[in-house]
Amino acid sequence: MTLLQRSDWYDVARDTNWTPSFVSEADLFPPEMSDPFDMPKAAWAEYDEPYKVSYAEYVKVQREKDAGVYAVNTAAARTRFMEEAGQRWHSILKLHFGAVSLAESSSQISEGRMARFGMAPGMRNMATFGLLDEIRHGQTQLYFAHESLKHSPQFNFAHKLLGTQEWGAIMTRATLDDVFLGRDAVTTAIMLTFAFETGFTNMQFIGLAGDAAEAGDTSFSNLISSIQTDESRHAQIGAPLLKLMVKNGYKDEAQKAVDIGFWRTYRFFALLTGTVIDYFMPLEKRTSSFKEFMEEWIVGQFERTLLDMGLDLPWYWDFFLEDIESFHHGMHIGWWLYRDTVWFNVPAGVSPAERDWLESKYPGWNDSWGRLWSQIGENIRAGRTDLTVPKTLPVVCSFNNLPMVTDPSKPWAGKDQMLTYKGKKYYFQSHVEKWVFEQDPERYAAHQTLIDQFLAGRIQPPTYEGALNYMGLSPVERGKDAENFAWAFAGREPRTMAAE
Amino acid sequence: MSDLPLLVSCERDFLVHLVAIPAEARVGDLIEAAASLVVGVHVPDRPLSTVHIRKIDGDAALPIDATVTDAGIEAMDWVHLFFDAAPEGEPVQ
Repeated sequence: MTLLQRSDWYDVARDTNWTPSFVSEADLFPPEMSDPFDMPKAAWAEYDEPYKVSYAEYVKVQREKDAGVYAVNTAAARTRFMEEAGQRWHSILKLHFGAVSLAESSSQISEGRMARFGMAPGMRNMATFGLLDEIRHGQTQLYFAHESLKHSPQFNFAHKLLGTQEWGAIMTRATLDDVFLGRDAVTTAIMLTFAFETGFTNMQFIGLAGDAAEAGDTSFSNLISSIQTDESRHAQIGAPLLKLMVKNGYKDEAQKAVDIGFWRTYRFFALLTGTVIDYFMPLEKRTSSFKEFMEEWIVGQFERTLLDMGLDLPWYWDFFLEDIESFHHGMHIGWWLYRDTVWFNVPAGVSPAERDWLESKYPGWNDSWGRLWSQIGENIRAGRTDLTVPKTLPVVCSFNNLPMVTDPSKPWAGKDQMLTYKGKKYYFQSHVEKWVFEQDPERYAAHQTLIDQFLAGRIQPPTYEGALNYMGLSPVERGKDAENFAWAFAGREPRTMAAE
Repeated sequence: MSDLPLLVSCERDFLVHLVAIPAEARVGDLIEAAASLVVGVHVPDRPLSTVHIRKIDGDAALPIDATVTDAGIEAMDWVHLFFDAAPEGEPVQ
């Protein structure tokens, strides 16, 4: 007997929208978990997943992928790459594993929600495989990070970070709660698979994989390339949903979810990817600037995809295009100044040659961000490294939990960055964060940023050192300058450096 | 009287700092405390006499001899340091 082709049986086999008899349809698919927009069944019947795969095919391919990833890792372990890679590359790995490894667990829950509560069988099918994907991603990245523990205890933050009150952990959890975990299946599909995964994970996983290969880290490059092949499959859950929403009169709802999900995601990756590409990566290994990556992966591809679907560009698009010139520079100098609040050693990335590169990629950088670094460098050369150590906490955005920053050559927006809700003052990085908050203030108002926790007396003693301990950072885990301030003396007469 | 937590930014700097100041402190004391986080740290050093403070959504410099409370500053207000026009030209923020 010959086997049928997949296309001969797939639609029949996956079409599991039976009429329930033991429970009502509303009990089986509660709107708050499934489809709060109550789109008609006829509309859902149009959902056609672009990527069709059977379980047997899926398992075969995934097994081969895993075999390849671990084989390359075993081979790479015989080299001395990690011993010779230098602090910058170690920091990139620590940052990536800390921010991403356990975030994959949140993705598992999101995919599980779509697999259970998605209204279309094709959506449920893809999400089931997506759930298996995310389990693989969590396991492999934790495994790789664990193997690196022998190089530094800071690699432990791959597993530890999201269980702490470290400020980046609070930011990451808040983002994951909003985009991955706290939404119905429809909105999750839009915010996670379309906004987060379609554009931005490409940049982190493909962009960083290219840089890793360039840096000689074949193991890590192979790992995240393998992950991205899964992402590019299950990221397609959202696109057909958006198409049917637009076609059936739900464009406004779809657009709002895209606008919110995109902005929250952008901020996350500006911190995670923007700083790495423009500052952490050794200069000779850089392929493109963050802005160039953004223009290729987001401004170009994401723009086209949105418009092809009949959606509009997010209302803040012009502001976004300006923001990719500056925001991540603020995040980076923040990483460096508050380096003892993070679990990796932070390279300044502003040696004279790097400043030239930054100026060439971001004209005007020297007159804005560069002036701050010049002052910091002067203080270091004068032996005043104490002036590079913060004495108080930065104020963080009430919505995105990141330090509030501005291009130092531009004014703050003042009123556009604040509001009072039920007697409490809220401050925002920009008018976009404020707009998102205003769309559903009850969703966000009770969130406790690190500053809220400090003011509530939960950090004891209420000092900077108290805050470091509260964040779960022991002295050996706290970040330092990755190059022991050598960058401040580059191109100058040798001077005695203050050890950090 | 307990300390007032305030948001403090500074001309030519990039960050908003959390600063706690006694409510009975003078505005001049607030300027000194806030400037110590930025002036000579992120931006070039300059005399305190050339540093002023205003509410982020206001234009007028607050009187340095007034108490913080009398100057109308409340908990979690956002205040901004700015400088006399000097070597680097006109204020940018």
